[in-house]
Amino acid sequence: VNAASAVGDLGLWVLSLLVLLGAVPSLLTVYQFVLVAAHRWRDHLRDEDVSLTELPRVAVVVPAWNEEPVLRLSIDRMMAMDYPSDRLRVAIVDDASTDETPALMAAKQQEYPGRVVHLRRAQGGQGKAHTLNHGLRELLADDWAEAVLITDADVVFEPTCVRRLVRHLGDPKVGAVTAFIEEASEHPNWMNRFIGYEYAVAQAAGRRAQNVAGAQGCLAGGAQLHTRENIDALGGAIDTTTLAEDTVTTFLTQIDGRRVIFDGNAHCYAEEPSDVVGLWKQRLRWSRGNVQVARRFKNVFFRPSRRHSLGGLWIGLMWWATLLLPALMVCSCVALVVLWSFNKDHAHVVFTRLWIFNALAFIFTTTFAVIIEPRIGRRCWRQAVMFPGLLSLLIMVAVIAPRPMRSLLVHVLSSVGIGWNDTTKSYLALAAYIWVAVSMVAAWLIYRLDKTKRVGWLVAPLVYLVGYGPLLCAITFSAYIAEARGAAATWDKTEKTGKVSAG
Amino acid sequence: MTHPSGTERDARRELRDDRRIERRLVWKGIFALLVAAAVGWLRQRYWM
Repeated sequence: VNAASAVGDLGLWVLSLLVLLGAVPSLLTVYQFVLVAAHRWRDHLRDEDVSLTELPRVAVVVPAWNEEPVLRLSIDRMMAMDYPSDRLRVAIVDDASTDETPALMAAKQQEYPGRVVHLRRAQGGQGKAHTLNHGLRELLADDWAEAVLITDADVVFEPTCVRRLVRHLGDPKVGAVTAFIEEASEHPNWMNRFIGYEYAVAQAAGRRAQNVAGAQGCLAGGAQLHTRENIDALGGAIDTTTLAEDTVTTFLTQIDGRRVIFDGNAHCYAEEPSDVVGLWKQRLRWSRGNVQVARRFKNVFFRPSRRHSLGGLWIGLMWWATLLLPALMVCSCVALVVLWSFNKDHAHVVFTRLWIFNALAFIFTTTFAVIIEPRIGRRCWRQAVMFPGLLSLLIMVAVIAPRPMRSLLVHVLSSVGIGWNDTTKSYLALAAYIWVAVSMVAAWLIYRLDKTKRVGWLVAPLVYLVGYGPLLCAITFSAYIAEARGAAATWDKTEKTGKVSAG
Repeated sequence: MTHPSGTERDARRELRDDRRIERRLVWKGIFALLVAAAVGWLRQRYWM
């Protein structure tokens, strides 16, 4: 009997630990924000490194395929950059566009003689990385460029952005610098605002924390400044074998011993997807790219090195926790249900502790993220609050304020004729336990619904109910499946309208 | 130098401004921590 009891206790402990795996992402995010607060003490810039008399000659490379509507604005903004005009050159690498791009480029070359270059590929369709490499080959053929800024056609730069980025190149250890890309649709809808908040967390906070940790996970595809030496060391070209060429560039740069820096005060603006289908298409590509990168660099993580900090504990944990987030959530939910089937009281205790921690972590990180960039906070605070979804918020309120919530529930249930008894409590508890896993399935169903284009008005309320976070988890889960079955890796361009409100 | 506004002084001022923003992050972090701690205290004190 004693042996059976010991095995039972051990089982409960193992199940409890599996349930608490659901707190790992929150724990890492809290630590990330602690690192953000420490950012001021990891400033590698010295006053003597910052000079305007020795600004490098910067070649801006813009891959473009049928981007005429957005290029019109972005070229003008680049030409108006607060940077010496004889030291900034823009090359539009036209991937055989079939729209009005050639005509626009002819006009822009006349308007800005010698400063705007049109590099047109005779045959296109190979994807962004190949287009970029065509531009890099042309630009590095002579020795004019001392630094290369890789960006996207729709990205609009704040006038001081490049000047802020080049400051870091005064440090000879730096190979590349990336800027903060804000979601800045002129008339943002709910989806744009969710993405705007997500970028504040992932970039303004996440990349600052990575600066402190000494390694960056990814250079922003739309704003990455490289020294010429770095591009040369990468073979004069970027990776074309994965869907995450920016991440591969970031890893290779750091593995080779050159630092990658994020400058949170160098801002630029971009237009992001405005519906679930657009988001799914974009993020599935990113997530699949991350799975490919994890496979390619599996020997880099958790292996400290003198040359780089990618092998650091927190960087590895953050990378894998993000990639494995859906699996962690499902594992936590399944363990909780199994625990519930054996011992309801114990399941309740573990669940309450997990959610109290998650709720307080959510309050800390959301408050911090909203005030990191006050302008974004004002624009997106509703989406910040609703990020986990209304139902998850209700669960958080239930564990944080159990007494008032119980009174409310009893009142609501009795008004629809349901009594507050053990059976009701048991079903409600089970529903709360499985919600995190179910929310991912619900998010996938919302995507399918959005694809039908039938009840478009219903999509936004459903995302608010289910949550934007679960939507991202569902996309990551979908990426596992796509990679496991070896689905074709195609480059799906995100449609842009050229309506960006800059600054 | 061909751009009218590009001066050494601007660069130094920008750097100072940016460092001020980074310094403020410490206080923002402390504020966020206090908010979370206050909610935790309210839970223990009134909502249990």
